[in-house]
Amino acid sequence: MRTQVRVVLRQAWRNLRARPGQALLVLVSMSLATTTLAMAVAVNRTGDGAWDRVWRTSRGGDVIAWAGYDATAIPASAPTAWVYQQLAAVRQAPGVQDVGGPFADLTATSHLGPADVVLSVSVRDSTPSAIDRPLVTGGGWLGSGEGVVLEDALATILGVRIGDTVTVAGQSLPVIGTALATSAPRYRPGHVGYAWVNQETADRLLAAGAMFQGATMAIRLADPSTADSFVRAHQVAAADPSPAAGFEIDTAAHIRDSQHEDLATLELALLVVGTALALVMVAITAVLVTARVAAHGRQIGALKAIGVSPGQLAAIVLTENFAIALAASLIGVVAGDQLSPLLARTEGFLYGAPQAPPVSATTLLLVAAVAVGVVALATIRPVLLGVRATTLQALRPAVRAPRSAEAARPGARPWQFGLRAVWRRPTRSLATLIGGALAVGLVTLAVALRSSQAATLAHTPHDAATRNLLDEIHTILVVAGVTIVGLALVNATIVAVLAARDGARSFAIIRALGATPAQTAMSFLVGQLIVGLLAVAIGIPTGVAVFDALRSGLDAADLSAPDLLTLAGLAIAAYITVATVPAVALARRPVAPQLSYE
Amino acid sequence: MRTIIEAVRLCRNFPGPVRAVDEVDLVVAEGERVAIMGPSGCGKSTLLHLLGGLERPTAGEIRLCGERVDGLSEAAWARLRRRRVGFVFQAFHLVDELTAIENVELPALLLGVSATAARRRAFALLERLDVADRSRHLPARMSGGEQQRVALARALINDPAIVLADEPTGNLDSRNTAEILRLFASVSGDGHALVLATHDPRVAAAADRLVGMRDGRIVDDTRLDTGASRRDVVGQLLGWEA
Repeated sequence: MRTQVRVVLRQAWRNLRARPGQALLVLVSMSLATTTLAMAVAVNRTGDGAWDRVWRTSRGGDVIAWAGYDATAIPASAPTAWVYQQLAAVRQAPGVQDVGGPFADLTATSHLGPADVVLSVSVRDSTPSAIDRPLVTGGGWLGSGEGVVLEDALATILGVRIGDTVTVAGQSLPVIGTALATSAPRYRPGHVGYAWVNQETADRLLAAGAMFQGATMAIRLADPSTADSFVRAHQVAAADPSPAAGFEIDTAAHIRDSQHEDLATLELALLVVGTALALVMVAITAVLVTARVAAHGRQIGALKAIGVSPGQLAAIVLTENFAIALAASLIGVVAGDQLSPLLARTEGFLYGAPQAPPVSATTLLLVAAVAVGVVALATIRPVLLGVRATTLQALRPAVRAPRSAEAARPGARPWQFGLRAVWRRPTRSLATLIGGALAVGLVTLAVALRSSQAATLAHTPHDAATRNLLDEIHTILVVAGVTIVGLALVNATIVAVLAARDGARSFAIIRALGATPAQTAMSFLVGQLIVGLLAVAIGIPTGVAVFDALRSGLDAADLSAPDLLTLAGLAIAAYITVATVPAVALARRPVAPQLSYE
Repeated sequence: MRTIIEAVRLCRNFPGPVRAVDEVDLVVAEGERVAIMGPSGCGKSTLLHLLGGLERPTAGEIRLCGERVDGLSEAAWARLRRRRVGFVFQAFHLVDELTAIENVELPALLLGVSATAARRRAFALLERLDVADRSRHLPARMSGGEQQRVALARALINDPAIVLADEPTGNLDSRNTAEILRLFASVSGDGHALVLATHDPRVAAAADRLVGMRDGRIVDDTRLDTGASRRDVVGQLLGWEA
C-alpha cells in the first residue's frame, strides 16, 4: 500500500514538473480566486477585530440597556423617574457584576462644520467611568469647564478639529476632544451623531432648549456567555408612561454585528467577485486538465499495460491537481488576511484602524473546500473518460460522423474546412464554447456591476465616508474586471492553442494537398470565429440575466444596445486576436515534420 | 518522353552534421515508375518531400514540368501542388474530420473546381478504386487498405503530372499491398509519373526503375525494363540492406 502511494505521488510530481507552465497557470488563476474568497471571509472579521479592540479598551458592557423617548415625540414633561426606574431594575438583576451609568442622554440640533446634525449628547463625569469609558482618540477628555467631546467619525466626516467651536442647541462650545465607544455608534451621514459633555455643559444645553431623551447603561455580567438569556429575560419594561417611551436592551455582540453593514457590502462585492473568479478558474482548469489528460493518452496506455489500475491513474491526475488546489488555498488565505485590512479601511465607519484577523481553521477549510471542489468539478470527468478509455480509444480522434444529408452535400470550400472541423469535433468545440461563453458572461457581469455602481454613485450623497466605501467597491470591481478579462483572455489563448495543436495534423494535410498558408490560417480562424460568435451570443445575455437575477438591492445596470454591441465587438475582436497567433503559427509551421511523425 | 521532374545536385541539411539528401541528381519522365529503396534514414522520405515542396532544399535545383520551383514561396508551392503533384503517405494522412469522399474532393475544391464537379470526380475515382461504398465514412471507421485507396484517389483527383508515394504499403498486409500495387500500375498507365519510396522489394519490383539510396546519396540507378531480371536486381538491393 505504501509503495502504491509512493508510485502515485512520484508520478504526480513528475507530471507537474513535466509541464511547469501549465501547473503555474492553474496555480495563479486558482490563487486569485482563493485570495478573493479569503478576503471576503476576512473583511468582516477585520471590522470585528477593530470593534473588539475598542470594546476592550473602553471597558464596554456585555449588555447595553437604554430607556427613554422617541427623539421626534418627546413629551413636554418627560418623566425621568420612569427612565431610571427601568434601568435600576436591570441593574439589580441577578448576574450583573458591574455597570457603567446610567448616563443621561440629551438630544439637540447642532451645527458642526458644514452640516446641521441631530446630536445625542451623553452626560458624563470628568472622571471616566469604570465601565463604558470612551477611548479618547484626539485632544482630551471632559474637564470641569465647558466643552464637548465628539464621536471620532462625526468629527472626521464633518471635518471638525480639536479647538474648533461648534453650535449645540444654539450654544457655542469648544471641541476639546474626540473619542470612540462601542456604546456610541459610528456616525453615518443622515444619522444621529454622538457627543459627550459634563453636567455643567448639559445644564446649559437643557436651559437652551436641548431635551432629556433618556439614559444608557452598560452592564458587565458575571458570566458574559449568558448575555443572550439575560437580554431575553429583561426585554419587557414596566408600563410605559407615554406612547413615545421605550426600553431597549441588547448584547454587545449583536450591536457589533449590526455595525458592519458597510463592510457587509464590501464582503458581498468580494463574494460576487470571488465566485466569478472561481468560475473562470473552473473553465481554465477544466480546459487545462482535459488537455493534460489528452496529452497523457500514451502515458495512460503505457501505465495500464504495466499493471497500473484505473483507480491509480485517477489518483495520479487528481493528486497533481489537488496539490495545486491546496497550495492555492494556503496562498489565498494568507494573502486574503493580509489584504483585508487595506480593503476595510473605509475611513469613518470602522472603530479605529482595521486589523488583520488571525487565520482561522474555518477560513482555511472554507477556502480549501472551494478550491478542491473546483478542481474536482474540473478534473473528474476528463479523468474518468481518460482512464476508462482503452489505449486504442484514447488514440482515436473524437470525431462525429456526419449525418447522411450532411454527407451527401457537395464539398466545402477551403475556408469552410475550419467550420467542418469545429462541427465534427463536438466535444472539443463544446468545451471551447462553454469556456468562451463563461468568460464573455463574466466580463458582461463585471461591466453591468460597474454600470450599476455608477448609477448608485449618481444618486448617493457625496459625503466622504460613503465615497470611501464606493471607491473601495469601485477598486474591487476594476481590479476584478481587469483580472476577469485577463483570465478570460488566458482561457481563450489556451483554448485556441489547444485547438490549433489538435488540428495541426489535419491542417498540415490540407497544406500538403495544396492549401496556401493564408488559406490554412483563414480556415482555422473561421472555425474559431464561429465558436467566438456563439460564445458572445450566449455569454452576453447570460451575463446580463445573471446580474438582473442577483442584483436585488443594487441599481439596474444602464447598458444600452450600442453598449452591448460594443462589448460584443470587443469580445470578438479579442477572441480573433488571440486565435490569430496560433493560426499564423499553424500556417507557418513546416509541414513535413508533422506528417512524418506517426 | 517529356521530363516531369528533375533534381540537380539537390541537398538538404539538418542541424548538426546530418545531410539527409546529398547532391542528388534525378530525372523522372512522364509515365515513368521510379522506386527509391534504401535503409531507414537514408533520405528517401526527405527526397520525396523536397520534390513535392513540403521541405526546402539547402542547395540544388528542382524543375517541375520544365519550370524551376526550388525557390518558390510556400503559397506558390501550394498552388503548384494542387495542379501537378499528388501525395500518398505511409500513414495515409486522411483528414480525420472529413469523410472519404470529402477527403478525395478537397484538392479539387482547392483548385477551384465546382463543388458538384468535384463530388462527381471524387465518386468516380472511389468507384474505380473499389471503395465507393465507404465514401461517407470517416477515416477512423475504415481499414488501412481502404484508407490507402482513398488516399490514392485523393492524390489523383486533379490529374497530377506526378504522384509521390512515401512507403505507400508500409502499413498494409500482403493482400492490400498487392491491390495497391495493381492500382499504382493502372495509375502510371494513365500517364502519371510515379516516384515511390519503399522498403518492400515486391513494391520496388513493380517499378520501371530502381534508385538505391544510402547516406543521402543515390548509389544506384537501374532500369528494370532493359531485359535484366527484376528479381535479380531486387535481390541485389536486398543484399545492400542486409
